[in-house]
Amino acid sequence: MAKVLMKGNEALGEAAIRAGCRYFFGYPITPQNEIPQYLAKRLPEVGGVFLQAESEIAAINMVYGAAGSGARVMTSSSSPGISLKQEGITYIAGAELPCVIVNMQRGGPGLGSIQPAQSDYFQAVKGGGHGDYKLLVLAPATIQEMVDMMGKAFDLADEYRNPVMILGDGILGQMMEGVEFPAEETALTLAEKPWATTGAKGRKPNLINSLFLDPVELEQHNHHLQRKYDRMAKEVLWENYRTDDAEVVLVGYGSSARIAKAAVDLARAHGIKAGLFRPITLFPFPKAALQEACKQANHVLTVEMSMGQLVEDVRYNLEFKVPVHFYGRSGGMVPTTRAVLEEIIRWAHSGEEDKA
Amino acid sequence: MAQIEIYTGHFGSGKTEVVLNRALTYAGQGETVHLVDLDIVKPYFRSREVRYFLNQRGVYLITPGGELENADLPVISPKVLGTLTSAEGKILFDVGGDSMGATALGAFAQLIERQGYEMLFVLNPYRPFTKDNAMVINMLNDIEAASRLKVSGIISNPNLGRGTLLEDLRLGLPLVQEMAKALELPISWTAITERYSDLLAAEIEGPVQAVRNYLLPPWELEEGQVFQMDPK
Repeated sequence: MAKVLMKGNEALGEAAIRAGCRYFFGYPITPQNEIPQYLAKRLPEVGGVFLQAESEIAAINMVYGAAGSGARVMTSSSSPGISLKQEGITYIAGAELPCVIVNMQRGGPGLGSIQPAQSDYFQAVKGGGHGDYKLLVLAPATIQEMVDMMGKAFDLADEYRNPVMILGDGILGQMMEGVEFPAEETALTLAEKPWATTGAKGRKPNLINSLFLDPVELEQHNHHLQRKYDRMAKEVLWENYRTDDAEVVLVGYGSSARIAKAAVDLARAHGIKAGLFRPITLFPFPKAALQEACKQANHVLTVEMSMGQLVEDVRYNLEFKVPVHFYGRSGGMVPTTRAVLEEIIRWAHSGEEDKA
Repeated sequence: MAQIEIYTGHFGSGKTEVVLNRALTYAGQGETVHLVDLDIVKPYFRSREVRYFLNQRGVYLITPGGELENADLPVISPKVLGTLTSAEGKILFDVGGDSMGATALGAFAQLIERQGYEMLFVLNPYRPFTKDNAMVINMLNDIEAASRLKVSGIISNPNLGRGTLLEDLRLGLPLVQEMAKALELPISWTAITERYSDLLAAEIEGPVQAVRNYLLPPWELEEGQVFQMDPK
Protein backbone atom coordinates (compact mmCIF):
# COMPACT_ATOMS: atom_id res chain seq x y z
CA MET A 1 0.00 0.00 0.00
CA ALA A 2 1.23 3.49 -0.80
CA LYS A 3 1.94 6.06 1.83
CA VAL A 4 -0.86 8.06 3.44
CA LEU A 5 -0.74 11.14 5.63
CA MET A 6 -2.09 10.47 9.10
CA LYS A 7 -2.19 11.76 12.63
CA GLY A 8 -0.46 9.52 15.11
CA ASN A 9 -3.74 8.70 16.81
CA GLU A 10 -5.48 7.75 13.56
CA ALA A 11 -2.53 5.64 12.42
CA LEU A 12 -2.56 3.81 15.72
CA GLY A 13 -6.24 3.03 15.29
CA GLU A 14 -5.73 1.67 11.79
CA ALA A 15 -2.71 -0.34 12.92
CA ALA A 16 -4.78 -1.95 15.67
CA ILE A 17 -7.33 -3.08 13.10
CA ARG A 18 -4.57 -4.48 10.88
CA ALA A 19 -3.27 -6.33 13.94
CA GLY A 20 -6.61 -8.08 14.31
CA CYS A 21 -8.05 -5.94 17.09
CA ARG A 22 -11.84 -6.08 16.82
CA TYR A 23 -12.91 -4.66 20.17
CA PHE A 24 -12.34 -1.19 21.56
CA PHE A 25 -13.76 0.22 24.76
CA GLY A 26 -12.90 3.75 25.77
CA TYR A 27 -13.88 7.14 27.03
CA PRO A 28 -12.87 10.43 25.38
CA ILE A 29 -10.01 12.61 26.59
CA THR A 30 -7.68 15.00 24.79
CA PRO A 31 -5.12 14.49 23.24
CA GLN A 32 -6.05 10.94 22.16
CA ASN A 33 -9.62 11.46 20.90
CA GLU A 34 -8.75 10.64 17.31
CA ILE A 35 -8.16 7.01 18.34
CA PRO A 36 -11.75 6.36 19.44
CA GLN A 37 -13.05 8.65 16.71
CA TYR A 38 -11.20 6.68 14.06
CA LEU A 39 -12.16 3.31 15.48
CA ALA A 40 -15.80 4.34 15.86
CA LYS A 41 -15.81 4.71 12.09
CA ARG A 42 -13.60 1.78 11.13
CA LEU A 43 -14.42 -1.03 13.57
CA PRO A 44 -18.03 -1.50 12.40
CA GLU A 45 -16.72 -1.69 8.81
CA VAL A 46 -14.65 -4.77 9.71
CA GLY A 47 -17.29 -6.42 11.88
CA GLY A 48 -15.77 -5.19 15.13
CA VAL A 49 -17.24 -3.53 18.18
CA PHE A 50 -16.58 0.05 19.18
CA LEU A 51 -18.08 1.14 22.44
CA GLN A 52 -17.83 4.46 24.22
CA ALA A 53 -18.39 3.53 27.82
CA GLU A 54 -19.91 5.73 30.50
CA SER A 55 -16.52 6.12 32.16
CA GLU A 56 -12.90 4.98 32.03
CA ILE A 57 -13.62 2.54 34.84
CA ALA A 58 -16.41 0.91 32.86
CA ALA A 59 -14.25 0.85 29.74
CA ILE A 60 -11.30 -0.94 31.35
CA ASN A 61 -13.60 -3.53 32.89
CA MET A 62 -15.13 -4.17 29.47
CA VAL A 63 -11.56 -4.74 28.26
CA TYR A 64 -11.14 -7.20 31.15
CA GLY A 65 -14.24 -9.09 30.07
CA ALA A 66 -13.39 -9.13 26.38
CA ALA A 67 -9.80 -10.21 27.05
CA GLY A 68 -11.07 -12.95 29.35
CA SER A 69 -13.17 -14.37 26.55
CA GLY A 70 -10.16 -14.39 24.24
CA ALA A 71 -10.75 -11.27 22.12
CA ARG A 72 -8.04 -8.99 20.72
CA VAL A 73 -9.01 -5.88 22.60
CA MET A 74 -7.65 -2.40 23.13
CA THR A 75 -8.38 0.75 25.07
CA SER A 76 -6.77 4.16 24.91
CA SER A 77 -6.71 7.23 27.06
CA SER A 78 -4.52 10.04 28.31
CA SER A 79 -2.95 10.53 31.73
CA PRO A 80 -5.94 11.32 34.01
CA GLY A 81 -8.00 8.67 32.24
CA ILE A 82 -5.22 6.10 32.62
CA SER A 83 -5.15 6.84 36.35
CA LEU A 84 -8.84 6.03 36.49
CA LYS A 85 -8.18 2.74 34.72
CA GLN A 86 -5.53 1.55 37.17
CA GLU A 87 -7.85 -0.67 39.17
CA GLY A 88 -8.93 -2.53 36.06
CA ILE A 89 -5.35 -2.77 34.81
CA THR A 90 -4.12 -4.46 37.97
CA TYR A 91 -7.08 -6.89 37.80
CA ILE A 92 -6.14 -7.69 34.19
CA ALA A 93 -2.50 -8.19 35.18
CA GLY A 94 -3.53 -10.33 38.15
CA ALA A 95 -5.85 -12.46 36.03
CA GLU A 96 -3.12 -12.68 33.34
CA LEU A 97 -5.10 -11.40 30.40
CA PRO A 98 -3.72 -9.98 27.15
CA CYS A 99 -4.75 -6.52 25.99
CA VAL A 100 -3.24 -3.31 24.66
CA ILE A 101 -3.56 -0.02 26.53
CA VAL A 102 -2.51 3.23 24.89
CA ASN A 103 -1.52 6.26 26.95
CA MET A 104 -1.03 9.51 25.01
CA GLN A 105 0.37 11.39 27.96
CA ARG A 106 -0.55 14.95 28.84
CA GLY A 107 0.58 17.40 31.52
CA GLY A 108 -0.13 16.58 35.15
CA PRO A 109 -0.56 16.08 38.03
CA GLY A 110 -4.32 16.16 38.50
CA LEU A 111 -6.44 17.29 35.63
CA GLY A 112 -3.33 19.11 34.41
CA SER A 113 -3.32 20.43 30.86
CA ILE A 114 -4.07 19.05 27.41
CA GLN A 115 -0.49 19.63 26.25
CA PRO A 116 2.08 16.82 25.82
CA ALA A 117 4.03 15.30 28.71
CA GLN A 118 5.93 12.19 29.77
CA SER A 119 5.22 12.33 33.46
CA ASP A 120 3.45 8.95 33.63
CA TYR A 121 6.71 7.04 33.18
CA PHE A 122 6.75 5.74 36.74
CA GLN A 123 3.08 4.78 36.56
CA ALA A 124 3.69 2.87 33.33
CA VAL A 125 6.87 0.97 34.18
CA LYS A 126 6.54 0.36 37.92
CA GLY A 127 3.10 -1.19 37.91
CA GLY A 128 0.73 1.71 38.33
CA GLY A 129 -2.06 0.11 40.28
CA HIS A 130 -1.79 -1.88 43.49
CA GLY A 131 0.08 -5.14 43.90
CA ASP A 132 3.26 -6.53 42.38
CA TYR A 133 2.78 -6.50 38.64
CA LYS A 134 4.36 -5.10 35.50
CA LEU A 135 3.14 -4.01 32.13
CA LEU A 136 5.18 -4.52 29.01
CA VAL A 137 5.76 -0.92 27.97
CA LEU A 138 6.58 0.12 24.40
CA ALA A 139 7.61 3.67 23.55
CA PRO A 140 7.50 4.48 19.83
CA ALA A 141 9.00 7.74 18.59
CA THR A 142 7.54 8.05 15.10
CA ILE A 143 4.13 7.39 13.64
CA GLN A 144 5.59 4.68 11.43
CA GLU A 145 7.11 3.00 14.46
CA MET A 146 3.77 3.21 16.24
CA VAL A 147 2.17 1.38 13.30
CA ASP A 148 4.95 -1.20 13.02
CA MET A 149 4.81 -1.90 16.74
CA MET A 150 1.09 -2.53 17.00
CA GLY A 151 1.19 -6.13 15.80
CA LYS A 152 4.07 -6.79 18.16
CA ALA A 153 2.17 -5.24 21.05
CA PHE A 154 -0.76 -7.63 20.58
CA ASP A 155 1.53 -10.61 20.01
CA LEU A 156 3.51 -9.89 23.17
CA ALA A 157 0.27 -9.51 25.11
CA ASP A 158 -0.87 -12.93 23.90
CA GLU A 159 2.50 -14.60 24.42
CA TYR A 160 2.88 -13.43 28.02
CA ARG A 161 -0.83 -13.15 28.83
CA ASN A 162 -0.08 -9.67 30.07
CA PRO A 163 -1.32 -6.15 29.37
CA VAL A 164 0.96 -4.19 27.04
CA MET A 165 1.09 -0.41 27.25
CA ILE A 166 1.96 1.82 24.33
CA LEU A 167 3.32 4.91 26.01
CA GLY A 168 3.06 7.90 23.69
CA ASP A 169 2.49 11.58 24.30
CA GLY A 170 0.30 14.32 22.91
CA ILE A 171 2.77 15.29 20.22
CA LEU A 172 2.96 11.76 18.81
CA GLY A 173 -0.82 11.50 18.90
CA GLN A 174 -1.52 14.84 17.26
CA MET A 175 1.30 15.29 14.76
CA MET A 176 1.01 14.12 11.17
CA GLU A 177 3.51 12.08 9.16
CA GLY A 178 3.47 10.03 6.01
CA VAL A 179 3.02 6.40 6.96
CA GLU A 180 2.88 3.02 5.26
CA PHE A 181 0.76 0.09 6.46
CA PRO A 182 1.54 -3.57 6.02
CA ALA A 183 -0.44 -5.26 3.24
CA GLU A 184 -3.98 -6.06 4.31
CA GLU A 185 -3.94 -9.54 2.82
CA THR A 186 -1.49 -11.03 5.32
CA ALA A 187 -3.60 -13.54 7.19
CA LEU A 188 -3.06 -13.24 10.91
CA THR A 189 -2.30 -16.33 12.88
CA LEU A 190 -3.47 -15.53 16.35
CA ALA A 191 -2.29 -17.46 19.36
CA GLU A 192 -4.55 -20.21 20.69
CA LYS A 193 -6.22 -19.22 23.94
CA PRO A 194 -7.28 -22.46 25.63
CA TRP A 195 -7.66 -20.59 28.94
CA ALA A 196 -10.34 -18.22 27.63
CA THR A 197 -13.97 -18.36 28.74
CA THR A 198 -15.47 -19.35 25.41
CA GLY A 199 -18.17 -21.73 26.64
CA ALA A 200 -17.33 -24.89 28.57
CA LYS A 201 -19.17 -27.42 26.43
CA GLY A 202 -17.14 -30.63 26.35
CA ARG A 203 -14.32 -29.34 28.55
CA LYS A 204 -13.62 -28.22 32.09
CA PRO A 205 -14.77 -24.67 32.81
CA ASN A 206 -12.15 -21.92 32.63
CA LEU A 207 -12.05 -19.30 35.34
CA ILE A 208 -10.82 -15.73 34.93
CA ASN A 209 -10.05 -14.32 38.33
CA SER A 210 -7.61 -12.25 40.34
CA LEU A 211 -8.96 -13.21 43.77
CA PHE A 212 -6.84 -15.63 45.82
CA LEU A 213 -8.19 -15.90 49.35
CA ASP A 214 -5.51 -18.37 50.36
CA PRO A 215 -2.31 -16.36 51.02
CA VAL A 216 -0.11 -19.35 50.23
CA GLU A 217 -1.71 -19.62 46.84
CA LEU A 218 -1.47 -15.85 46.23
CA GLU A 219 2.21 -15.84 47.09
CA GLN A 220 2.74 -18.68 44.63
CA HIS A 221 0.83 -16.68 42.05
CA ASN A 222 3.11 -13.71 42.71
CA HIS A 223 6.19 -15.88 42.23
CA HIS A 224 4.71 -17.18 39.01
CA LEU A 225 4.10 -13.60 37.79
CA GLN A 226 7.60 -12.55 38.78
CA ARG A 227 9.14 -15.39 36.78
CA LYS A 228 7.09 -14.23 33.82
CA TYR A 229 8.36 -10.66 34.17
CA ASP A 230 11.91 -12.02 34.35
CA ARG A 231 11.32 -13.96 31.13
CA MET A 232 10.26 -10.71 29.43
CA ALA A 233 13.85 -9.43 29.72
CA LYS A 234 14.61 -10.94 26.31
CA GLU A 235 12.11 -8.62 24.63
CA VAL A 236 14.26 -5.50 25.06
CA LEU A 237 14.36 -3.04 22.14
CA TRP A 238 16.44 0.10 21.75
CA GLU A 239 18.05 2.42 19.21
CA ASN A 240 21.58 3.77 19.25
CA TYR A 241 22.24 7.00 17.40
CA ARG A 242 25.85 8.15 17.03
CA THR A 243 26.78 6.61 20.37
CA ASP A 244 29.90 4.73 19.15
CA ASP A 245 32.36 7.44 20.17
CA ALA A 246 29.97 9.63 22.17
CA GLU A 247 31.39 11.41 25.20
CA VAL A 248 27.99 12.82 26.09
CA VAL A 249 25.17 10.27 25.70
CA LEU A 250 21.60 11.53 25.76
CA VAL A 251 18.83 9.18 26.83
CA GLY A 252 15.20 9.81 25.97
CA TYR A 253 12.14 8.05 24.63
CA GLY A 254 9.24 9.09 22.39
CA SER A 255 9.02 12.75 21.37
CA SER A 256 11.86 13.73 23.71
CA ALA A 257 14.15 11.33 21.87
CA ARG A 258 13.42 13.13 18.61
CA ILE A 259 14.27 16.47 20.19
CA ALA A 260 17.42 14.90 21.66
CA LYS A 261 18.36 13.47 18.26
CA ALA A 262 18.11 16.91 16.65
CA ALA A 263 20.25 18.30 19.49
CA VAL A 264 22.85 15.54 18.97
CA ASP A 265 23.19 16.58 15.32
CA LEU A 266 23.64 20.22 16.33
CA ALA A 267 26.21 19.24 18.97
CA ARG A 268 28.15 17.18 16.42
CA ALA A 269 28.17 20.25 14.15
CA HIS A 270 29.75 22.09 17.11
CA GLY A 271 32.44 19.42 17.31
CA ILE A 272 31.03 17.73 20.40
CA LYS A 273 30.91 13.95 20.40
CA ALA A 274 27.29 13.47 21.40
CA GLY A 275 24.97 10.50 20.86
CA LEU A 276 21.51 9.28 21.75
CA PHE A 277 20.38 6.07 23.38
CA ARG A 278 16.66 5.54 22.92
CA PRO A 279 14.95 2.79 24.90
CA ILE A 280 12.03 1.44 22.84
CA THR A 281 10.90 -0.97 25.54
CA LEU A 282 10.67 0.87 28.85
CA PHE A 283 9.78 -2.34 30.64
CA PRO A 284 11.79 -4.48 30.22
CA PHE A 285 14.49 -1.82 30.35
CA PRO A 286 17.40 -2.41 27.92
CA LYS A 287 20.03 -2.36 30.65
CA ALA A 288 22.92 -4.12 28.90
CA ALA A 289 22.46 -2.03 25.75
CA LEU A 290 22.43 1.18 27.78
CA GLN A 291 25.63 0.19 29.55
CA GLU A 292 27.25 -0.65 26.23
CA ALA A 293 26.19 2.68 24.67
CA CYS A 294 27.54 4.62 27.65
CA LYS A 295 30.81 2.78 28.23
CA GLN A 296 32.95 5.57 26.78
CA ALA A 297 30.70 8.40 28.00
CA ASN A 298 31.87 11.05 30.45
CA HIS A 299 28.34 12.29 30.98
CA VAL A 300 24.85 10.96 30.43
CA LEU A 301 21.90 13.34 30.07
CA THR A 302 18.27 12.33 30.10
CA VAL A 303 15.82 14.50 28.18
CA GLU A 304 12.25 14.20 29.37
CA MET A 305 8.93 15.95 29.49
CA SER A 306 8.72 15.41 33.24
CA MET A 307 10.37 16.58 36.44
CA GLY A 308 12.78 13.63 36.30
CA GLN A 309 11.51 10.05 36.09
CA LEU A 310 13.42 8.15 33.40
CA VAL A 311 16.59 9.61 34.94
CA GLU A 312 16.14 7.38 37.99
CA ASP A 313 16.06 4.20 35.90
CA VAL A 314 19.03 5.37 33.84
CA ARG A 315 21.10 5.95 36.97
CA TYR A 316 20.02 2.60 38.40
CA ASN A 317 20.69 0.66 35.21
CA LEU A 318 24.10 2.30 34.73
CA GLU A 319 24.81 1.25 38.31
CA PHE A 320 25.92 4.78 39.16
CA LYS A 321 29.17 4.35 37.22
CA VAL A 322 28.69 7.43 35.01
CA PRO A 323 27.34 10.81 36.12
CA VAL A 324 23.73 11.01 34.91
CA HIS A 325 22.14 14.44 34.54
CA PHE A 326 18.59 15.46 33.84
CA TYR A 327 16.98 18.05 31.62
CA GLY A 328 13.22 18.27 31.43
CA ARG A 329 10.21 20.48 30.94
CA SER A 330 6.84 19.69 32.43
CA GLY A 331 3.20 20.58 32.62
CA GLY A 332 2.81 20.50 28.85
CA MET A 333 5.91 22.57 28.06
CA VAL A 334 8.30 20.90 25.64
CA PRO A 335 12.11 21.03 25.59
CA THR A 336 13.52 23.01 22.67
CA THR A 337 16.38 21.60 20.64
CA ARG A 338 18.38 24.71 21.51
CA ALA A 339 17.94 24.23 25.25
CA VAL A 340 19.04 20.60 25.00
CA LEU A 341 22.07 21.67 22.96
CA GLU A 342 23.02 24.15 25.69
CA GLU A 343 22.87 21.32 28.23
CA ILE A 344 25.09 19.13 26.04
CA ILE A 345 27.62 21.96 25.68
CA ARG A 346 27.57 22.54 29.41
CA TRP A 347 28.36 18.92 30.28
CA ALA A 348 30.83 18.46 27.41
CA HIS A 349 32.91 21.34 28.75
CA SER A 350 32.40 20.69 32.46
CA GLY A 351 35.62 20.00 34.32
CA GLU A 352 37.75 21.85 31.77
CA GLU A 353 38.24 24.75 34.18
CA ASP A 354 39.66 22.34 36.74
CA LYS A 355 42.19 20.97 34.27
CA ALA A 356 43.34 24.43 33.15
CA MET B 1 -11.45 37.16 -4.22
CA ALA B 2 -14.17 38.23 -1.84
CA GLN B 3 -13.38 40.05 1.40
CA ILE B 4 -14.28 36.89 3.33
CA GLU B 5 -12.37 33.72 2.51
CA ILE B 6 -13.35 30.55 4.34
CA TYR B 7 -11.07 27.53 4.49
CA THR B 8 -12.84 24.25 5.12
CA GLY B 9 -12.05 20.63 4.47
CA HIS B 10 -11.31 17.29 6.01
CA PHE B 11 -9.65 17.04 9.38
CA GLY B 12 -5.90 17.11 8.67
CA SER B 13 -6.21 18.29 5.06
CA GLY B 14 -3.82 21.17 5.77
CA LYS B 15 -6.26 24.05 6.28
CA THR B 16 -4.35 25.80 9.02
CA GLU B 17 -0.95 25.80 7.27
CA VAL B 18 -2.64 26.85 4.03
CA VAL B 19 -4.54 29.71 5.65
CA LEU B 20 -1.47 30.90 7.60
CA ASN B 21 0.51 31.12 4.38
CA ARG B 22 -2.36 32.86 2.64
CA ALA B 23 -2.72 35.38 5.45
CA LEU B 24 1.01 36.15 5.43
CA THR B 25 0.98 36.54 1.65
CA TYR B 26 -1.87 39.05 1.84
CA ALA B 27 -0.19 40.89 4.70
CA GLY B 28 3.02 40.99 2.67
CA GLN B 29 1.08 42.71 -0.11
CA GLY B 30 0.09 45.42 2.36
CA GLU B 31 -3.44 44.23 3.06
CA THR B 32 -5.00 44.33 6.50
CA VAL B 33 -5.69 40.71 7.41
CA HIS B 34 -7.94 39.30 10.11
CA LEU B 35 -7.51 35.59 10.68
CA VAL B 36 -10.33 33.91 12.58
CA ASP B 37 -9.21 30.75 14.37
CA LEU B 38 -12.54 28.93 14.35
CA ASP B 39 -10.94 25.53 14.89
CA ILE B 40 -12.88 23.84 17.67
CA VAL B 41 -11.77 20.37 16.58
CA LYS B 42 -8.06 19.90 16.96
CA PRO B 43 -6.29 20.55 20.27
CA TYR B 44 -2.71 21.03 18.99
CA PHE B 45 -1.01 22.73 16.06
CA ARG B 46 -3.55 25.56 15.99
CA SER B 47 -2.94 28.99 14.48
CA ARG B 48 -3.11 30.52 17.97
CA GLU B 49 0.31 28.94 18.62
CA VAL B 50 1.90 31.44 16.22
CA ARG B 51 -0.06 34.48 17.36
CA TYR B 52 2.99 36.60 18.20
CA PHE B 53 4.64 35.81 14.89
CA LEU B 54 1.44 36.69 13.00
CA ASN B 55 0.90 39.96 14.87
CA GLN B 56 4.46 41.01 14.06
CA ARG B 57 3.64 40.60 10.39
CA GLY B 58 0.36 42.47 10.49
CA VAL B 59 -2.05 39.54 10.70
CA TYR B 60 -4.66 40.00 13.44
CA LEU B 61 -5.55 36.69 14.94
CA ILE B 62 -9.00 36.27 16.45
CA THR B 63 -9.13 33.52 19.10
CA PRO B 64 -10.98 32.97 22.39
CA GLY B 65 -8.07 34.59 24.25
CA GLY B 66 -6.82 34.16 27.79
CA GLU B 67 -6.58 30.78 29.46
CA LEU B 68 -9.29 29.26 27.31
CA GLU B 69 -6.92 29.44 24.38
CA ASN B 70 -5.06 26.43 25.82
CA ALA B 71 -8.24 24.42 26.33
CA ASP B 72 -9.99 21.96 24.04
CA LEU B 73 -13.37 23.58 24.61
CA PRO B 74 -15.64 24.60 21.74
CA VAL B 75 -15.25 28.30 22.52
CA ILE B 76 -15.72 30.98 19.89
CA SER B 77 -14.59 34.52 20.55
CA PRO B 78 -17.32 37.23 20.57
CA LYS B 79 -14.80 39.21 18.50
CA VAL B 80 -15.70 37.06 15.48
CA LEU B 81 -19.02 38.86 15.20
CA GLY B 82 -17.37 42.26 15.53
CA THR B 83 -14.84 41.37 12.87
CA LEU B 84 -17.55 40.23 10.49
CA THR B 85 -19.59 43.40 10.92
CA SER B 86 -16.90 46.06 11.02
CA ALA B 87 -13.42 44.88 10.04
CA GLU B 88 -11.69 46.34 7.02
CA GLY B 89 -9.42 44.33 4.79
CA LYS B 90 -9.35 40.59 4.38
CA ILE B 91 -11.13 38.22 6.74
CA LEU B 92 -9.87 34.65 6.58
CA PHE B 93 -11.64 31.84 8.42
CA ASP B 94 -9.62 28.82 9.59
CA VAL B 95 -12.46 26.35 10.16
CA GLY B 96 -12.12 23.08 12.06
CA GLY B 97 -12.10 19.82 10.15
CA ASP B 98 -15.06 17.86 8.76
CA SER B 99 -18.71 18.75 9.30
CA MET B 100 -17.97 18.89 13.03
CA GLY B 101 -15.73 21.91 12.52
CA ALA B 102 -18.04 23.44 9.93
CA THR B 103 -20.92 23.44 12.42
CA ALA B 104 -19.25 26.33 14.25
CA LEU B 105 -19.19 28.24 11.00
CA GLY B 106 -22.92 27.71 10.56
CA ALA B 107 -23.57 30.08 13.45
CA PHE B 108 -22.34 32.95 11.27
CA ALA B 109 -23.76 31.70 7.96
CA GLN B 110 -26.46 34.37 7.53
CA LEU B 111 -24.13 37.26 8.17
CA ILE B 112 -21.42 35.80 5.97
CA GLU B 113 -23.88 35.18 3.16
CA ARG B 114 -25.09 38.77 3.27
CA GLN B 115 -21.58 40.14 2.95
CA GLY B 116 -20.42 37.85 0.21
CA TYR B 117 -17.77 35.19 0.66
CA GLU B 118 -15.68 32.59 -0.99
CA MET B 119 -15.59 29.18 0.67
CA LEU B 120 -12.66 26.98 -0.28
CA PHE B 121 -12.34 23.25 0.21
CA VAL B 122 -8.78 22.16 1.04
CA LEU B 123 -8.16 18.74 -0.43
CA ASN B 124 -5.35 16.28 0.17
CA PRO B 125 -5.88 12.92 -1.57
CA TYR B 126 -3.19 11.35 0.65
CA ARG B 127 -5.58 11.49 3.61
CA PRO B 128 -7.30 8.10 3.99
CA PHE B 129 -10.84 9.47 4.37
CA THR B 130 -10.60 11.64 1.22
CA LYS B 131 -8.81 9.21 -1.02
CA ASP B 132 -11.54 8.65 -3.62
CA ASN B 133 -14.31 10.61 -5.31
CA ALA B 134 -17.17 9.12 -3.31
CA MET B 135 -15.51 9.99 -0.01
CA VAL B 136 -14.69 13.52 -1.15
CA ILE B 137 -18.24 14.15 -2.38
CA ASN B 138 -19.63 12.99 0.98
CA MET B 139 -17.18 15.14 2.89
CA LEU B 140 -18.05 18.22 0.87
CA ASN B 141 -21.79 17.65 1.18
CA ASP B 142 -21.53 17.20 4.93
CA ILE B 143 -19.48 20.36 5.31
CA GLU B 144 -21.87 22.41 3.20
CA ALA B 145 -24.86 21.10 5.12
CA ALA B 146 -23.26 21.83 8.50
CA SER B 147 -22.02 25.30 7.58
CA ARG B 148 -25.09 26.23 5.51
CA LEU B 149 -22.67 27.80 3.01
CA LYS B 150 -21.52 26.77 -0.46
CA VAL B 151 -18.02 25.81 -1.51
CA SER B 152 -16.91 27.70 -4.61
CA GLY B 153 -13.48 26.27 -5.21
CA ILE B 154 -10.89 23.70 -4.26
CA ILE B 155 -7.43 24.22 -2.92
CA SER B 156 -5.29 21.42 -4.20
CA ASN B 157 -2.98 20.38 -1.37
CA PRO B 158 -1.60 16.90 -2.06
CA ASN B 159 1.16 16.18 0.45
CA LEU B 160 2.63 13.66 2.86
CA GLY B 161 3.73 16.23 5.40
CA ARG B 162 7.36 17.20 5.81
CA GLY B 163 8.47 14.03 4.05
CA THR B 164 6.70 14.93 0.78
CA LEU B 165 8.75 14.04 -2.29
CA LEU B 166 8.51 15.68 -5.67
CA GLU B 167 7.01 12.49 -7.09
CA ASP B 168 4.30 12.52 -4.39
CA LEU B 169 3.25 15.94 -5.67
CA ARG B 170 3.39 14.87 -9.31
CA LEU B 171 1.19 11.87 -8.50
CA GLY B 172 -1.15 13.79 -6.21
CA LEU B 173 -1.90 16.84 -8.34
CA PRO B 174 -3.79 14.91 -11.07
CA LEU B 175 -5.71 13.02 -8.38
CA VAL B 176 -7.08 16.32 -7.08
CA GLN B 177 -7.92 17.38 -10.63
CA GLU B 178 -10.03 14.25 -11.04
CA MET B 179 -11.76 14.89 -7.73
CA ALA B 180 -12.44 18.51 -8.70
CA LYS B 181 -14.09 17.23 -11.87
CA ALA B 182 -16.26 14.86 -9.87
CA LEU B 183 -17.22 17.71 -7.54
CA GLU B 184 -17.84 20.02 -10.50
CA LEU B 185 -15.69 22.68 -8.85
CA PRO B 186 -12.70 24.65 -10.10
CA ILE B 187 -9.27 24.43 -8.48
CA SER B 188 -8.90 27.97 -7.14
CA TRP B 189 -5.24 27.52 -6.41
CA THR B 190 -2.64 24.95 -5.59
CA ALA B 191 -0.62 24.76 -2.39
CA ILE B 192 2.92 23.46 -2.80
CA THR B 193 5.63 23.19 -0.19
CA GLU B 194 8.13 26.01 -0.68
CA ARG B 195 10.81 23.38 -1.36
CA TYR B 196 9.17 22.56 -4.70
CA SER B 197 6.91 25.50 -5.51
CA ASP B 198 9.32 27.20 -7.94
CA LEU B 199 10.11 23.93 -9.61
CA LEU B 200 6.45 22.97 -10.15
CA ALA B 201 4.88 26.39 -10.77
CA ALA B 202 5.42 26.09 -14.53
CA GLU B 203 3.66 22.69 -14.65
CA ILE B 204 0.59 23.85 -12.76
CA GLU B 205 -2.39 25.59 -14.26
CA GLY B 206 -3.66 28.49 -12.18
CA PRO B 207 -2.18 30.26 -9.17
CA VAL B 208 0.25 28.56 -6.80
CA GLN B 209 0.73 29.34 -3.13
CA ALA B 210 4.14 28.37 -1.77
CA VAL B 211 3.64 26.87 1.66
CA ARG B 212 6.03 27.13 4.56
CA ASN B 213 5.15 24.98 7.57
CA TYR B 214 4.77 26.98 10.76
CA LEU B 215 3.16 24.46 13.08
CA LEU B 216 5.84 21.85 13.48
CA PRO B 217 6.86 19.40 16.18
CA PRO B 218 9.67 20.88 18.29
CA TRP B 219 12.50 18.90 16.67
CA GLU B 220 11.65 20.26 13.24
CA LEU B 221 11.50 23.92 14.18
CA GLU B 222 14.22 25.96 12.59
CA GLU B 223 16.67 27.75 14.79
CA GLY B 224 15.08 30.89 16.18
CA GLN B 225 11.58 30.00 15.05
CA VAL B 226 10.43 29.17 18.55
CA PHE B 227 11.50 32.55 19.81
CA GLN B 228 9.81 34.30 16.95
CA MET B 229 6.62 32.56 17.91
CA ASP B 230 6.76 33.49 21.54
CA PRO B 231 9.45 35.73 22.99
CA LYS B 232 8.69 34.43 26.48
